[in-house]
Amino acid sequence: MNRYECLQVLVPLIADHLIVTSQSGQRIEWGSLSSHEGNLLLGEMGAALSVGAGLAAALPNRPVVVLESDGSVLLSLSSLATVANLGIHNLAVFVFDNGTYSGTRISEPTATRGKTDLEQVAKGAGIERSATVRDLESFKKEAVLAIQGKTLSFIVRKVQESLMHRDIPRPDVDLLENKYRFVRYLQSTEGKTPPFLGRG
Amino acid sequence: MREDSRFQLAPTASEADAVSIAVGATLGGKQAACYMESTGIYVSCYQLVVVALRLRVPVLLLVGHLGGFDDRRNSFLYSLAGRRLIPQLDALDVEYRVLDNGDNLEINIKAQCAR
Repeated sequence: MNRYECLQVLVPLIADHLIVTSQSGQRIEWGSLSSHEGNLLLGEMGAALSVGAGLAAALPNRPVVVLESDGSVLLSLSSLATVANLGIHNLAVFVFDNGTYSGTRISEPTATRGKTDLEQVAKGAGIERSATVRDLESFKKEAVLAIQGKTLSFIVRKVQESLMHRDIPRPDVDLLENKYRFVRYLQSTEGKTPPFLGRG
Repeated sequence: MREDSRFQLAPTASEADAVSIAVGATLGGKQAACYMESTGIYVSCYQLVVVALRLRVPVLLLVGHLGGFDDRRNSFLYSLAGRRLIPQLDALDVEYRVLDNGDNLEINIKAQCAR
C-alpha cells in the first residue's frame, strides 16, 4: 500500500480540520485529492509538524491534522519533544513512512529503513498516543480516533515507496495564494484576523 | 512570562521549532514572537527561509546579542557567533534594529508589533 491510498482514506474524514502537508510529493498528492479550504500545502521538509503545532496552540478548539513523512520528521526530531510538552490535544500527526528519500529523483534509505523507530522516538519524546500501523484496516481505525482531535496523536503508517506524485498535476495555486485562502477560511470560520492581513 | 496571563508561552527544544510554531500561531490569528540568543538565528535559518520568509508571515524575533561587542560576560566564548549575527541577518534579508541598551525596550517592541 502506498501513501496515496492512505490519503484517500483520510479525505472523507476531514470536516472543519486544518491540514498541513510537509514535503512536495505529499503536497501534490493531497492537493489532488482535496480542495479543502483548510489545506495549508507547505511542501517543505522539517516544518509541517511545528507549524501545525502552532496552529493547534493558537486555536485549541480546532482539530489540526499534519501529514508528515519519515524524512521530514527525521529532519526535525526536536519538534517531537517540543510538541509533546506544549500541552496541546487537538493535533493528529500522520507520518507516511516509506523508509526512503525519494523526492529529488533519488531513492536513498532513511534511518527508519535501518534501526530507527519513529513511534518509539515519539513515545520517548513524550507523545503517549503513538502507534505504528501496517495495514489499511488498522490505519482506518487509528485515523478515525486521531482525527477527532481529542488527544495529541502520532500515527506512523508504513507504506511502500511510490513515485506516483510525479504523474499527478501539481496544485494550480502557489503557496502565497494557498496561504491567503487558508487565512480567509480561518477568518470566516474562527472570526480571527491574522495580524499581517491588510498590512502589505 | 509564565505567570503573565497575557502571554501563551511555548518553550521549544530548538529555535527552529520556535520559528515554525510562531508562523503557525500567526496564521491562527495570534501575535507571535520568538525570544532567542544570537546562536538561535543559525539554528533556525532553514525555518526562517522555507517557512517564515517563503510564506511571508511576519514573526517578531527578539534576539539577545550573545557574543556581541557589549556582551562582557560571554563574548570570548561566543564571539564567533556574535560577530557574524548581523551579516547573517543581512544574508537572510531579515529586517532588524539593533538596540544598544534596554532603554525604551517596551516602546520599541510595541512599535515593531504595530508595523
